[in-house]
Amino acid sequence: MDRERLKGNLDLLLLSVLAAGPVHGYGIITVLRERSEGTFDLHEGTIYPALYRLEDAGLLSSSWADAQGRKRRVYALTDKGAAALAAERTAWRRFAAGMRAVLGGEPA
Amino acid sequence: MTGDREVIRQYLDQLRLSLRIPETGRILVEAEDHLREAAAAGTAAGLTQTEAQQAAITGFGPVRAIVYAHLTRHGRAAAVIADLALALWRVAAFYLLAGFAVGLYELLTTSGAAACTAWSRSCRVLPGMPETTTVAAVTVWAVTGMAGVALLAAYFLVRRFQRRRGRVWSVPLGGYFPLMATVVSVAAGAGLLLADTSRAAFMPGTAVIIYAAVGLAVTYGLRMCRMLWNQARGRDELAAGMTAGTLGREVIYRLYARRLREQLAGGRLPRHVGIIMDGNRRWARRQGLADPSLGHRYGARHVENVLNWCQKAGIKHVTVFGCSTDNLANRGDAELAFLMQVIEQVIADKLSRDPAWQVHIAGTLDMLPDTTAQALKRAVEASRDCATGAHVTLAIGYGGRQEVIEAIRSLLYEHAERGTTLAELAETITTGDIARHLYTAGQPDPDLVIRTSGEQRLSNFLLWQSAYSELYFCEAYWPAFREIDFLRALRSFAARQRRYGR
Repeated sequence: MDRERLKGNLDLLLLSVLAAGPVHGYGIITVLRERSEGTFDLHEGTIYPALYRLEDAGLLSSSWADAQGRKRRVYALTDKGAAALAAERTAWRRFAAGMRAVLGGEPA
Repeated sequence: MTGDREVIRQYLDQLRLSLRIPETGRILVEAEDHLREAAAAGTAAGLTQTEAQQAAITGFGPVRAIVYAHLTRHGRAAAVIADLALALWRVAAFYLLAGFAVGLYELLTTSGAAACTAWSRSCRVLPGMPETTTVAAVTVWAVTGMAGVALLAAYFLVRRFQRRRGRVWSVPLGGYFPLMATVVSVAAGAGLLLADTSRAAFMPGTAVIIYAAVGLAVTYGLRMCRMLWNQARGRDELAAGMTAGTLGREVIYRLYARRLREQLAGGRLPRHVGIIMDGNRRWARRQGLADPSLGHRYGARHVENVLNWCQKAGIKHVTVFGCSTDNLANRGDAELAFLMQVIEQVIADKLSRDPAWQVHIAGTLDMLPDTTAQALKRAVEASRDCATGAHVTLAIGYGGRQEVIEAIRSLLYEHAERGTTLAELAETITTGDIARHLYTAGQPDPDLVIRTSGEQRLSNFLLWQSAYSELYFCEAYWPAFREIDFLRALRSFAARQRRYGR
């Protein structure tokens, strides 16, 4: 997954990481890096604006938490976010199935 | 904490200075959390501290990339333009008020009609503008003033609205205003200078620009110096984030403090003040400091201020409760290590360098780390010959009950050496015998004990000595304990009638 393609789908990726439950910024990025099997190569600091944007859009909510004497912001999926994730996921699967059919690749 | 010039700190400082958007405070806290955690993962993987921090920063991305990402999220153009517009708005208000001030000054220094024409000349920025009549000049002058006030008031209303919605600059020099003010002033000044030299005559409009520019330069210069100075001294930017509001408050505090001092003049003064400094961590948390332990550093630095106030008030004996035996037993290792480091660096070093106070220690040094015990002993040695007659006792690793037990133990040993039997001792023992063996032997008992942060307990502080002390409780957290709080405590002491149990 190259940088531009990753960026284009970043919102979906962030929402799907949070589907498992509330996580703080560093946690989200770690999961993202692990799940993308090393192809994730965005500057980590540039993920935060995306989180803020999703929060502004009402898809995420966040609150301060205390961790080892530090303040940290923990993000969680809102109902609206969960709905958006479900819709996006379906759309993405349909798109991927279409791509596969056209490219004639191996079955999923 | 590994010193002030840590790589992560440097990076965050750069980020702070480059971000010009309202959420800067939150962004910095999250960035710090991220970097610290990434660095911890690095050290766990076997990197050195510095390597791990550098790796964390590389992963996080260059400052420019972060700033760009945040700006684009904001709808870059819209956010920047809105901020620039607000900055211009404020600059305009500032200039209108400067014009008004020039007029006022001329009205006060020259008389009537002359002042009006002088002012109308001062404000005639454009070379071709016609001379105005006196009435017109006065009208323009008054309108200028009112417009300035109105613009400024409206500006603050807008800012307040933004603050309610969480869009505020939580760092000093945030936003575009300083930049804008400087650019406008420099451009206008340069333009007028050019016009002046080409016409070989002094352009009167320059006065307004100069007044405004000097005002802006002084305001922001001071703020900048303060920030740099605080950073150089290792304080965080939060303490430096001084707004016009806090400046105004400070002036009022100073006036009030003066009044309190006048009230105290001639009143009864405690000879010995005991201070329980409580609330460092809570203060740090409320300030939004990432690490509440940092509160200890601010708290320790604050001891110096309070000692100065005592000196000014003429109090010769002060005992400061820094850390109890219970603290030593119950606080986490990391926090204690930090606390001890702070005591060494801030309190002990300061007191040994500037011996205005003879230092005494109350507490069991054996329970402290070697370096801390050494530093405290050095402070005692260095101030041994202090001639001011002022004594400060640092209660560190101190417990009141333990002190009494130690005193009795030492009394018993003393009599055992002399061959007194226990029965004889039991018959003759007096309070004086115990007092002689306390850590504070030879010092007067505290007349006044002050405890900060709203807790109303003695917590094992000077248990024996405070039998007749007046107690004063103050809501402020220790680092936020102000001179006026201190003076109020003294005033309250002077107003009370001490009874010594009679």
